[in-house]
Amino acid sequence: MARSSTENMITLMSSDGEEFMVTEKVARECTTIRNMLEDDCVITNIPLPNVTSDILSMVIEYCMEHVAAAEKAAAETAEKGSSSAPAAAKANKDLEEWDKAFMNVDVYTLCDLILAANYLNVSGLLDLTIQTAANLIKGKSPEQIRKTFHIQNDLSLEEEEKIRSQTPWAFEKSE
Amino acid sequence: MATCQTETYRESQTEIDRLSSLPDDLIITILSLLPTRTAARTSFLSRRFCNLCKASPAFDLSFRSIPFKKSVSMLKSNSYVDMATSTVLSRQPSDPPILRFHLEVPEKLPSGLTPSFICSLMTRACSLGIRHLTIDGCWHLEASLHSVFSITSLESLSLEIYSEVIFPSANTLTCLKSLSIHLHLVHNLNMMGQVEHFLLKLPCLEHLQLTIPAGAEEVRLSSQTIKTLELTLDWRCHTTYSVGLFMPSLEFLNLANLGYIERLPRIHGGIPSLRKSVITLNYLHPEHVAAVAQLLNCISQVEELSLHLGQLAFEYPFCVLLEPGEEAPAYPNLKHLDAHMCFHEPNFEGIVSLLHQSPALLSLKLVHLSTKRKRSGWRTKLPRNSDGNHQYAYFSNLHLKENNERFMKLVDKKSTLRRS
Repeated sequence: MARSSTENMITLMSSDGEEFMVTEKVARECTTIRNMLEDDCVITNIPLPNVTSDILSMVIEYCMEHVAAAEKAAAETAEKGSSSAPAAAKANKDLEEWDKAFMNVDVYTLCDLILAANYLNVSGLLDLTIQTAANLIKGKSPEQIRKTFHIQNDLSLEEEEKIRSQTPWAFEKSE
Repeated sequence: MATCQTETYRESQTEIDRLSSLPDDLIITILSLLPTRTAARTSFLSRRFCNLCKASPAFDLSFRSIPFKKSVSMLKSNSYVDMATSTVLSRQPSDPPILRFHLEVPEKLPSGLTPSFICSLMTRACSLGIRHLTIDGCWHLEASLHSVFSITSLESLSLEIYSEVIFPSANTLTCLKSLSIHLHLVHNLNMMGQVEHFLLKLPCLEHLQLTIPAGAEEVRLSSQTIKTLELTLDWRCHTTYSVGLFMPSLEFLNLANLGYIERLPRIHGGIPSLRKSVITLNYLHPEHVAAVAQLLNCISQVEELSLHLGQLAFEYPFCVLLEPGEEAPAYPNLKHLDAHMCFHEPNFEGIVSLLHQSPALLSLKLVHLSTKRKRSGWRTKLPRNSDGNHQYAYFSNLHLKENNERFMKLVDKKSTLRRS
């Protein structure tokens, strides 16, 4: 705690007016905020009108976890020598497991996280959420994808038939 | 009551189609991570999705993903050709650019899927300015390789080569930064020579992954620009006598053998900028030791070294690092050493000899790899660690006096063990 009090704190304000105090290091994980800080280094209060409080708290959680993991790896390097490949592999695996658990959200939240990660430019989180969305589409029939994402089918029968005839190779099923 | 309302609100909210409300570019990025066949099926979801997949910046044409139909044997390759035709071949240079192209075809092309068709895909890829190309499992590259090498926009290329091909003589891939070539060729001695010449013509290549083919005797890899090299020795390359590395910019070397190799090639050459190296050699026997010693000599300028040396358990333990009676080469820059091997007495002494030659060492990690041999000669000679076993040893901050003294105990411990 004593250490964090010496670090620069930044207040992030969500669209619904909730304030989040984070260390500058965590805030810098968001490239959008990093650029703001570099343009104006005395800024301490940043309103984020595009991000709701529940999504912002998740983005912060993600950034904190990844900053902590990077710090831990750096500390271990200093202590034990950096070439300890198995330890680094294990740390990576732990972080991957954490990411996987973090992505255990409903599709609505997932899409909001994609938007927030894109807006705040958190490349790791954007890659993770985009890949998670892609995985939800993989191996599903169009009907199953619609159900997963609550997509309304507004195609007329003629339009459906047209798409089928244009790309028959996409719709063949195994026998 | 209030919470109940929030929950109902939340529930109804989650029923909303949020995916469709994402901006086009984000949906297209999602679709670009899918195999082309799966991405194409999303055009059937709704009007919103009708044309989005056509803007995807990636093609991933997987033959495996096409379902097999017993009734019509030709259908699978027909479907594949249809898929490639309506995606790659119908894409125009004026359309959004293609970044990635992954082509996965069976090792033996089925009837209906011809080398000239694959060649036409490569020609189109060329006009689309593709940056990253991966070709998996293609036996019939002869015809299409020429067109692959004409894709001047390529930044990364990954190829598996199973048959005799002719590498281009002119320098065309002027943007190529990353190259991965796996030669699975058994008999043609000339192929490796072609790869050697090819490397000389790539002006900005930084990363090279290479599997040395069987049949090559003396390999000589030269490049002014390569920074990272991952070299794999196939179990079949037992005829390779030496591998020369002449890479003044090389910073990282990863060397590994896949399976048992009768004769381990001698690594030699000039790699003065090398800073980090990971060496993974398994199934070592006494006749390999001279080659391992020469390799360690060749990389003695490293700052970080990770050794993973597995050895065959013979009747008597032998040192895998040094030939009997030899001293380790000087490691003037070595800061971090990580060694995984069976720390029986000869190996332990080999490592101690190496440590005496490493004045700049900051940290050391030794991990014992046990063998199935129960003989006492194969037991670990590592000192007891804080967990109360002899399986590993860590030493850090060796530039500090007290740590250095602790470190010297390691050597002392060895001699006590010897006395007992």
